Amino acid sequence: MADRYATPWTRHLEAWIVGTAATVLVVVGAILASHLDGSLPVALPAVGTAAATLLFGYLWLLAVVAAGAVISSTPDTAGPTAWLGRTAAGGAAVASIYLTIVLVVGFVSPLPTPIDPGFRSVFGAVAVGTAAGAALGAVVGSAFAVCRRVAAVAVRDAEP
Amino acid sequence: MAVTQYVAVRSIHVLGSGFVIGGSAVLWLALRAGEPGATRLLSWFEAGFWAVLGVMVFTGLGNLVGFGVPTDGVRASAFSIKLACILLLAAVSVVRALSVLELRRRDREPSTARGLQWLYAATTLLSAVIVPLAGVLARG
Repeated sequence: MADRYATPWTRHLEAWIVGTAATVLVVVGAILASHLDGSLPVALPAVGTAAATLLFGYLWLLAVVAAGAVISSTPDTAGPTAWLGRTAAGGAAVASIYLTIVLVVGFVSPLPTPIDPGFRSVFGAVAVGTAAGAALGAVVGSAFAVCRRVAAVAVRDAEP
Repeated sequence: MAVTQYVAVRSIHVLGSGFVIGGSAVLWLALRAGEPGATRLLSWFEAGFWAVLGVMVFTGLGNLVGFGVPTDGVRASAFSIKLACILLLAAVSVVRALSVLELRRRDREPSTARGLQWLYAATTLLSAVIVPLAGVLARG
């Protein structure tokens, strides 16, 4: 949440930390889930190095920008509901932009496994992804709110 | 991937782990020794730490393709435990990084915050646990 005592450097650093941490947690969590259900050995080698770099870098960039927007637009007097609403909106925005761009680029670029270019399938994928992104944003937002409280407790005995 | 790409990816991954373990260990010892730590230095470490962790997750995927995704046996178990440890490391690191920001906001001396010392210690130990798991994952 935006803090009236924070300097621009502190705000940028917080957005960098929150955005990167959210990316790391979501990607590693997804890898762990796909490893446990057995789909990782098929899915991972199918993505080339260049495509993987773009997909990961683009998600990272979007997450950092969204974290910065959510943190700077939420006043420090905002309650938990407002905070969760904004993080859910941030998650939905990241998911919808990410999926739209990735699916559009997937149509126009030559891929070994072509994507079905039907409008309804794209719209459905983006709609479901946006809803999942909103839910994930709310979960990540509540996790960071808890982490912030724990951090405040961890340094409460610090002297000037 | 070409051989040069594998070498580059592996080198970046190993150098990244050196930065994470070495940096957090040095800062843990400095805080424990009561060195008057500059919050500015800790902030720069946090900025670098998260950049390195993001790159390491990506290069880790490249290494996985290079060494082969484990499906069963000891390597598969080591992989599951390693991913769980990385999730735990990221969670601890979020609290640690937000603690540094809290100190910066309040303009407090980091070496007097005992909780921060424990968080840097936990980062060092968790990172050190991940290294042998990576060895088992790569070589069996």
